[in-house]
Amino acid sequence: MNGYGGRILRVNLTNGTVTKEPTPPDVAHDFIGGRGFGIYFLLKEVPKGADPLGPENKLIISSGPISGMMIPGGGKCDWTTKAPLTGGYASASMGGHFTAEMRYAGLDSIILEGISPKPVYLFIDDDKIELRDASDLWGKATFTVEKQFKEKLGEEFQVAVIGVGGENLVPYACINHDYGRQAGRGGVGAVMGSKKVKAIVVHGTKSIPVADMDAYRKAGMALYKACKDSEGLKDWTRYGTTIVVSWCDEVGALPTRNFSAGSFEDGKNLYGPVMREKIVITDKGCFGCPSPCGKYSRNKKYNSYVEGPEYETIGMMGSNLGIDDIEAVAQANLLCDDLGIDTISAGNAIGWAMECYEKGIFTKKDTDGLDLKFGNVDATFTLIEKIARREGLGALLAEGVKRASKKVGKGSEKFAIQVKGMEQSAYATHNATAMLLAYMTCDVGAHHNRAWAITYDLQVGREKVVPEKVARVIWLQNFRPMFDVLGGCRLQWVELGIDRDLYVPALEAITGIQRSWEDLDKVGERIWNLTRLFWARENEGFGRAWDMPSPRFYEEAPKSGATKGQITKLEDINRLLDMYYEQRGWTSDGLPKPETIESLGLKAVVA
Amino acid sequence: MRLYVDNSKCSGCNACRVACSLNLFGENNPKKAALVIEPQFPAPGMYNVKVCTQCGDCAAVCPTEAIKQDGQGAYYVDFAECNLCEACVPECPEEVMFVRSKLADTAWKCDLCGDCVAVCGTSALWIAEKEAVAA
Amino acid sequence: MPATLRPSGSLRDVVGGQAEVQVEAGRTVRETLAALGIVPEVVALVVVNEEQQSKDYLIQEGDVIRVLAVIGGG
Repeated sequence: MNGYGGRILRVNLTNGTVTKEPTPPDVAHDFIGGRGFGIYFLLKEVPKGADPLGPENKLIISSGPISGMMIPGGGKCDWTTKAPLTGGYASASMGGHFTAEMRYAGLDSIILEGISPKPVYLFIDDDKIELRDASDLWGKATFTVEKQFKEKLGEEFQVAVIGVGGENLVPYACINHDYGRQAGRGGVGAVMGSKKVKAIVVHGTKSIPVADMDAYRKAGMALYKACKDSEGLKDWTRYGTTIVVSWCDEVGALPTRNFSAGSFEDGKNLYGPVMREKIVITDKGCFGCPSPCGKYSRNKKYNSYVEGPEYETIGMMGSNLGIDDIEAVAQANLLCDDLGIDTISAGNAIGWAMECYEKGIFTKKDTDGLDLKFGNVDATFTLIEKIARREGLGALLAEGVKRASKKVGKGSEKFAIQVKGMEQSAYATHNATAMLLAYMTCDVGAHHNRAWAITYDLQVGREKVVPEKVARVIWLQNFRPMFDVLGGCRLQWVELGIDRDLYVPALEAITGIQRSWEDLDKVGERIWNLTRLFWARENEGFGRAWDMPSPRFYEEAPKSGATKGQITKLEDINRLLDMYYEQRGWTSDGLPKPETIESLGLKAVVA
Repeated sequence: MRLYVDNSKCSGCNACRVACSLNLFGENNPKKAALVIEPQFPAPGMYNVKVCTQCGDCAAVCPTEAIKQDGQGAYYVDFAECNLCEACVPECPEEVMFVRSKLADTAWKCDLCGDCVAVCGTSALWIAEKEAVAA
Repeated sequence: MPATLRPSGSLRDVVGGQAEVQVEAGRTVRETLAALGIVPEVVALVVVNEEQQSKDYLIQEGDVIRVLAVIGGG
């Protein structure tokens, strides 16, 4: 099949067997790949009510038609599962080189099923596929394990590995690859740990079949030319996502002290140029990427190397914790990576704990003796370790802020900054209604990558509650995740502003199937409705209440910074939701109407 | 003319190697590329890239004269003439002479097509005159 | 010699599609953007003669100013 590796690999960990089946052409046609394959297999094969950490859940890893190709950004794979963190849909996108290598081994998806009786790792070398004993790797740090595999098997092998966090089933444990890329959110690492899979190592030497080789090479070259000609390429490459730290601080979007404000008075010590000068040594990129956002760093203060920190980690482990030392943030980043926990959720949880301490809800008895004030770097490092090992206060924080605040009570639920049980990522939304709506309606919980709308908020007017904002969020939600479906990265479109129509001839030349962006946005809309239906299937009483944001964004105006005194009204939040549901063709409680399901051709899928 | 690389600019993306395999073999398979990217991680944290300098040492030892020179003076392998004897491989000072019989029934090397330069987003690669080497 | 402003992709639409705009010296970047109809707040990065500056930078004769808007982040 043109444009595909051709096989789905099923790994039955209970029985210890591996089997391959042909990638179904109709699934490839309707769901394309990546995140599309993820929701297809999730709905079809994970039974309703499955325990996310039990044998019935599956971890579905999928590449897409542009993965491993001469297409800018062709370096992402999707990890889909039922989320331990939220009990709903999880989809994490991992960069690096794993997705390309999967394809060169002829694989479009790898599906991990069941639970292994003993720790194992999955070994893939073209058609030689085995489960091998990982008992001597269990308990080891992710960097250590990756290095061991690279030394033993060679640099051509690509490695995805969980850390102690995943082994301990921390609900926001992540999966690490290429010394700094992650499948980060929702607890995909915990699912892998629950199946006792320490790592997947993959190597392939096959060529990927292409429908029209000349047209593909021409279209690929045109895409690279557009990227290289783009005005912002040099700046974006220089700073990566740290390019927006100063700007977010300026517009009140930089989360500060558990999202109590959107500007950090010491923020300038965290800005991109400061970081570049202090620690960055290499611009490190994913497969096929002309605009490498990875900032590989040598941290002299802590004598360590780390890829990052990127914007999210700077926000969540820096300003959100009242920490203004970029080297401390880089070290926090490394600790999380090596232990295998998501920096966003961990930073959010630690920020919540700091606020509890500062408010007297926690005393030193609760914090294992830590003076858990905002700005305490050593306490942050200690807590990261404790979370991964689920020890002391770390055991509570490991559950995520929704569960932790419910257990603790005393008003702490009001400042647990989360939606659907997922910790909000690094954009403060006190007065940015499109972005707030994006967080409320994102399909994995409070994550920013589906619809990032802050510039739009500023252009149209922050506090405006108008149908155009809602339409914009919906358009972004249908379109942006399509890059995850294609097996690539959205940042060339997002950050360099290249014309998305340049992908159309490339996709047609590779797969042989002609698709316009109108067609692709439609696939995006269908997938969006399917993930919504998954939430509804798995969560009794799922509806509007699950889309509500933290009360912080309608009850507590920041006392300082760019958004001082600004807050969103609860009635406006409800108006936004009403408009969103109407425009999406959903009921007033936020469920896809039968006619919407029908008109999107989804009746058969959800039957 | 020859290919040059600035290691400090390499991001490890491998777009160059995909472009190369497409040029040499008409296949999307960077294992069949004629330049090497060696990641050095976690430390010192950079990529070491090896490219053909068009020195001609490979051509000098080829017993079947399969390694020829084109109009711009670049050495390339005539696939039809290569008998996989591998005499060229140890001669290459840059280790960019390739024989992987599982992947191709010929040796291969850089033919200076320039596609790698075209797709390199960080401008780590470029083609220029060979610099004169001091005697 | 006036200064040159080079807006990034999405901002070019605001200035009539031009890749380069001649601007007066003696005004801040912020004032210049506003005068051109660009909401200063949407500009994420200001680079003057290859060095990052804030929007309050006072433009000098001959400066080359690049301004980048973040179309989508994250």
